[in-house]
Amino acid sequence: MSSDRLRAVVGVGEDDVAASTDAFALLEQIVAKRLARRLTTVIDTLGLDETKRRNWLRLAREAGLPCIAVAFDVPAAQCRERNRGRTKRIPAAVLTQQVKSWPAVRDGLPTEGFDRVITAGESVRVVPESFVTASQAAERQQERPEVLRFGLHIGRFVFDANIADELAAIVAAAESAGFDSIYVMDHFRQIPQLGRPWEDFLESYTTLAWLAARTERVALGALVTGITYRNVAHLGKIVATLDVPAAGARCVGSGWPGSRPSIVRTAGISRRCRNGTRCWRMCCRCCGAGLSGVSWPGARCAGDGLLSATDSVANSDCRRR
Amino acid sequence: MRLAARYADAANVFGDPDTVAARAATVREHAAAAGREVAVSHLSTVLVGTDDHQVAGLAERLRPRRQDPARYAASVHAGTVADHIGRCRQLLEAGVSEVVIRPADLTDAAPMEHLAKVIAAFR
Repeated sequence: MSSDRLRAVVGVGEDDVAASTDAFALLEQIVAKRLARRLTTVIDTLGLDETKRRNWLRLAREAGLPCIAVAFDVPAAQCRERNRGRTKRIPAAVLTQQVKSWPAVRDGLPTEGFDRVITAGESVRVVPESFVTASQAAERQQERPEVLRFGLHIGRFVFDANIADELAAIVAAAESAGFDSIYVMDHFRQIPQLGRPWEDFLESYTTLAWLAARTERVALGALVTGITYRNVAHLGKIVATLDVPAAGARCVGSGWPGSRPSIVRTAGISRRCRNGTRCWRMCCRCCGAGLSGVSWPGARCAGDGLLSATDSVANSDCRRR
Repeated sequence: MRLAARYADAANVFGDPDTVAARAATVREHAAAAGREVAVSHLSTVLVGTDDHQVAGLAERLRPRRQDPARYAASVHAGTVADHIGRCRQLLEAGVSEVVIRPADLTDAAPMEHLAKVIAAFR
C-alpha cells in the first residue's frame, strides 16, 4: 500500500498534496481489510506519524501477524538532492521539518513494540511462513551435513507435449537429479486439490510398470494405493510383477481411498469396503510382510509367493471376508 | 498410525516441521511397542527457483487468477534453493528420512535443475 499511489488514485497524481487526507483514509481502510484477512501487507509511506504507526501495529496484533518496521536512513543531503530532481518539489521548509524529526523517530522505533526493526544495509525478503527460519537450518546442514532421501511425486499429467515423451523426459531428469524414488497417485480421476476432474489422468500401476521399464535406479510406488480398488492378493501380484522389469527396489504405499460416493460410483465399485482396517491389514501382509518383509526403503517385492501363488489371488476377495 | 507402525515400513505424515515431529514421535512410539522400526516420509508441494525474482515470476505465472500471490506462494512453499535446503533440514530434524516433492510446475523436466541442487546438499 503506497500512500503516493493512492494519492494518484483519488487525486490528480502522486504528488497531489491536496489529496493526502483522502489517500490516507483509503490507505487505512485497505490496510485494515487486508490485515483482517491475515494477508501480508506492506505500507510504503513516510511513516513519521507515531499515531499511525501504533495503529498499524495494533491491527497486526489483532490479526495475530508479525509487524516489522523497515527504516530507510537516508542522509539529509541526499534527500535534498533527490527533491531538487523532482518535477514538483516538496517545499524546502516541509522537507527540513521532515529531516529534522527523522532522527528521533529512527531512535525511538526499537521501543515501539515492532517484532523487528530493519535499518539500512539489511536486505528485506518476504517469504512464506515455512521459510522464516530456513536460513539457519540451511547453515546447520552446511556445517553438519546429514543424508536425506528424496522422492518425486507426479500428481498431474497435463504437459505441453505428448504425455509419454514428457513423462519419459521427467523421470530421466529425476534420476539424474538424484531422486531416490518416484511416486504417482492411485485415483480414478484428478483430485480437486491438484486439478480438474476431466484432466488426463493415468492409472497408477500401469504407469509405474511403464516407468519401471524406463528407469534404472529409483524406487517406484503409489502414494498411496487405494486398497479397496483391487483384489488385495491381485494387488500383491501387481506389485511383485512391477519388480520384474527393472531390478530396482519397489515399494507400495497403502491407504484408504477417498469416500466420495461420486468417485466410487465412477469406478464401478458399488460401495466402499466396509472393513477398511481389515483390508489394510491384508494388504500389508500381502504386499509387505508376505513378500519379503525387509525394511523400507528397498522392500524388494520379488517374493517367491506372489508371482506364482495364483490360488491366493483367485480365492481372495476383500468384500467377502 | 498404530496400524502403520505395526505393518508398514514407512508412514507418510503431513504438516509443518513441528507437527511432523510430533507425529513422527507417535509413529515411533507405536513402532517401538511392536518391536519394529518405521521410517517417516513427508509429502508436500514445492516451487523452487534460483533467486527471489525468479521464484516470484514462477508463482505469478502458476497461481490461479483469483488467488492472492502471497497465499499461493505459501501453499506451494515457493522459495529459493537455499530456502528449500533449510526446510528439508528442518524436516530431517523432525524425524523425516524421505522428503517427497510434488513440484508445482511439473509441466516439463525444467524444475529438476533446481531440485538437483537441493538434493545435492543432502548427499
